[in-house]
Amino acid sequence: MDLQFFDQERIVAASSTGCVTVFLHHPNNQTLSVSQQWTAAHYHTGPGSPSCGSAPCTGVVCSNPEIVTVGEDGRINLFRADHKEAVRTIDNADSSTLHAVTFLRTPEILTVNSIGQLKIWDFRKQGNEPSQILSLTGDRVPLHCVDRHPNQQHVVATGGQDGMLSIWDVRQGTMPVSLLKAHEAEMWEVHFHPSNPDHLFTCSEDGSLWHWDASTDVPEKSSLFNQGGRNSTFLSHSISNQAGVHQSLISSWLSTDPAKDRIEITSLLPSRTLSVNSLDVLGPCLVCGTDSEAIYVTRQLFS
Amino acid sequence: MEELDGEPTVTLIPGVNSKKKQMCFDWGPGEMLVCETSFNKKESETKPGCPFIYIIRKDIDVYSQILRKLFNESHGIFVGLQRIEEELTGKSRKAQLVRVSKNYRSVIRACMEEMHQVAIAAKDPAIGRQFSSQVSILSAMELIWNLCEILFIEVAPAGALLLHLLDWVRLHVCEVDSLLADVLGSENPSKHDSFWKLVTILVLQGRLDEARQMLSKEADASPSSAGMCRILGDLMRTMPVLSPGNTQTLTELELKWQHWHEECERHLQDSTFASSPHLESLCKIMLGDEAALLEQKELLNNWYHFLVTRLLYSHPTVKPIDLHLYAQSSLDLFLGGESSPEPLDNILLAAFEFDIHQVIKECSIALSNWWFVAHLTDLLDHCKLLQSHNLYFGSNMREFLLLEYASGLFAHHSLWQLGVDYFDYCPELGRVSLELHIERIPLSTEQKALKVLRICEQRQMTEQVRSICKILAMNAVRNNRLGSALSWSIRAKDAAFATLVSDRFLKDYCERGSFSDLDLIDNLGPAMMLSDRLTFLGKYREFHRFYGEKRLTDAASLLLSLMTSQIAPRSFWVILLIDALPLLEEKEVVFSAEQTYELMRCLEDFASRRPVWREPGVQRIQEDVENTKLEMLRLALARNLGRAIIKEGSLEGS
Repeated sequence: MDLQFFDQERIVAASSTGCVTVFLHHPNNQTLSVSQQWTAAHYHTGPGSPSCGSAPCTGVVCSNPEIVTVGEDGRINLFRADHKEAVRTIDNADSSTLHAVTFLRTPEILTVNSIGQLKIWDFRKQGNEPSQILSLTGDRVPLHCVDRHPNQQHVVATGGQDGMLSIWDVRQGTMPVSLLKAHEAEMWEVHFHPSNPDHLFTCSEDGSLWHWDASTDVPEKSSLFNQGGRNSTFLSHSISNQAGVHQSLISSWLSTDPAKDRIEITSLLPSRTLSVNSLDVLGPCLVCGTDSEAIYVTRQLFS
Repeated sequence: MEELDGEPTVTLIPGVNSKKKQMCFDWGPGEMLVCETSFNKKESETKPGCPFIYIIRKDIDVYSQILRKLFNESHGIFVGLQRIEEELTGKSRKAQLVRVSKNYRSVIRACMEEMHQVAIAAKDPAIGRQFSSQVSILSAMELIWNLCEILFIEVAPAGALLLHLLDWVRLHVCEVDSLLADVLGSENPSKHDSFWKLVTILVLQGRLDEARQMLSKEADASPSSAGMCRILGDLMRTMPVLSPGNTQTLTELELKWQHWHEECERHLQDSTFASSPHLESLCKIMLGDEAALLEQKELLNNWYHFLVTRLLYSHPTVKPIDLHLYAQSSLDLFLGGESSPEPLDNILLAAFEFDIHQVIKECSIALSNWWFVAHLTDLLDHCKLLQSHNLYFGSNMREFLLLEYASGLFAHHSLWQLGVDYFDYCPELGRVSLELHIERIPLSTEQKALKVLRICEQRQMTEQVRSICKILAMNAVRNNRLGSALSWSIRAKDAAFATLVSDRFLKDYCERGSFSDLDLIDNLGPAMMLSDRLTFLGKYREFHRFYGEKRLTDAASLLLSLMTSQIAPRSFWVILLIDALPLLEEKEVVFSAEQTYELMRCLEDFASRRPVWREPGVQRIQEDVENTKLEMLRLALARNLGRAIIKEGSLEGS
């Protein structure tokens, strides 16, 4: 249900059987072999669940040498490569399903769950309580994906079941900085571009993949510029006050001036497809997979 | 009841002794359950029967790795066709439909290619043979589809019809190109073993330019036959053909062709080619001589090639309605009474006779999967070629086939998503079928469940949404994931289930004295309003929070409202009343006199309606504990009342 590169050769895969596997890629003959496996990383233990009831592992994130996984059993596991058992397990970290996880700083992670809460966990602390909980008051919309800004560790983007994209600043309060109405159905994945963080990519159940461009130094970019898909501009709808801070220090995602900030949104897939379940982006390449069992690759993202 | 067209195939169930024991079965949406029964059991038999229940599925193609791509791609084309249906008008309609047909065919060809590669690369010969037979089935499908495209969708008129048929034949005989490459690549082409074979095939396929080129090589190589080669080459060059951009009328073409035909005849009569048997037979072929053509049976390979060649050289301006006569006679001549026609031959004949229903019927019987007939019928329906031919079971043919195909897809753990779109475009029974199937999809992960729910919600299938959410919520409760259970019941707006979850929380509190999952209860938000019990839970937790923050007056009024508003369950009243104790014992007076009266009333209300205990031993102790508690409460209330009255009396008008 989730995949991530661990290092140049190894890939970690999270499975719906509750199993976490590390695959080793052999470039010479283009094969994969299993290098390590934790078979019962996620499981249910309830009064009615069967004794070997496995729970799907919904998210995995790596930061060499650590691997953190979360699952439908509300459990957080911290593994280290080449250690047979989990280094740390937080049981019942959440009473609902944890959908995704990301690292904030190395000992801290952030998880999102199906009651619309972001929780920050600090592995240096003992105990099973999160160090901070952020959520949106009002409707408890489940959050399905989360990604941290590559350079600014306090900026986080989440996507929810109603297709809403939220940008959060974890230092400030418990409310998101902006809420952007985006897709018409669940947003499955959100990614900041690792080297151009002013660009954000989201994919959704409604079959579209959007490229959000918030770069502010684009005087000549008019709204007629077509990147091969539907083109529309949105105003960011911000709900918190950050007056008095220098523009250059704030990420363009946190800026609050609605007149100056226009985020340009482009749809990258040519026609309507079934749900786009997953995407990844690196450099000028973007890859995504859909429910019609097709994988789309583009190698000229910014041309 | 229609009569059976063929004997049904017999499938043996492993492990079941069908001769001795009786089997029972039951139909499901796409499958059948079969097991052995105990009927017909003889006294002497002590061996236990087969203990298994078998699920039988008819459609095994769904699980093929390569055919999966066929299903996925054709789904995209199908949905695209339904969507552009409204925009299709006038002249461009035919062109668009032809384009859709070509898309389908290219998908079949791509699949064929891939399967061919796999068949070649297979290490196990049995598997290789299996793939090869699949390739030939796909090839036959493409052949039939192509013919249907020419006759039914393109609806080519006389003249153009032959050109299309020529293309059709050329597409399906691919050895020619490899042979051509072979011969041309050799050092001395005209001395190659297969040289004359190649030239003959080229002539049979109407590729006269290439045949002429080969003849010129022969002319260069052997000067003795150069003259004859040149004459024959000229004949080839001057054969009148209807080219697409040409504005000749059919009668003009007919006239010119007649003239040319007579010239070829004359050369034959004059024995121009007498010295070279090869060239003579080529000339005879070009005259459309049936005997000469039949001599080339091996090169022609099948009767439809024979038909097209025959038409090319004897009736190039054949009209579509006359095709079937020539088709039937070609089949008879080609087979020559030695073998009987195969299913494919019957299908092609039916197509030449423009009997669409027969084509579809025969294809349904011959093929193992509904894919082909479903998509072809849908396309022909868009061409408005199918009358509303009502079947015995209520829906028309197109819908019936699409329903069958989509039901087959639902048997697959992942291709069911394609099936949904097919059901959407079946106006009569689609929705009902979808409702039936969608509840039976196994939900192994929450993500899959969310997709199913999204599909149901988009189609306003509220019953299904409720039932699926209830299943998921029940699973969550069993696994002790109360937060998930709550979020599922909120999604389904299921008040009853929300009550159940809240009762679980309250029970936990009674047993343990503290709340589990505070993160959930503290942050219920507007979802609290879903059910009374849930509201109570939220408010009760709020009361605890107020108390923790020392906001005592707020806590007191909240507690009172909880008791008077009747949303607290009976079993909880004791706890609420006991919770009032610390507030009553506070140094400051927290409850006003009014509030104290209210509390007293509640207390007496509760005391008078206490449930009667049945077990005598427990009853005693329980009653004692209860009575002590009530006494303490009464005392505290009385004291509070006194203090409150004093306090209210002594302040000015408050």
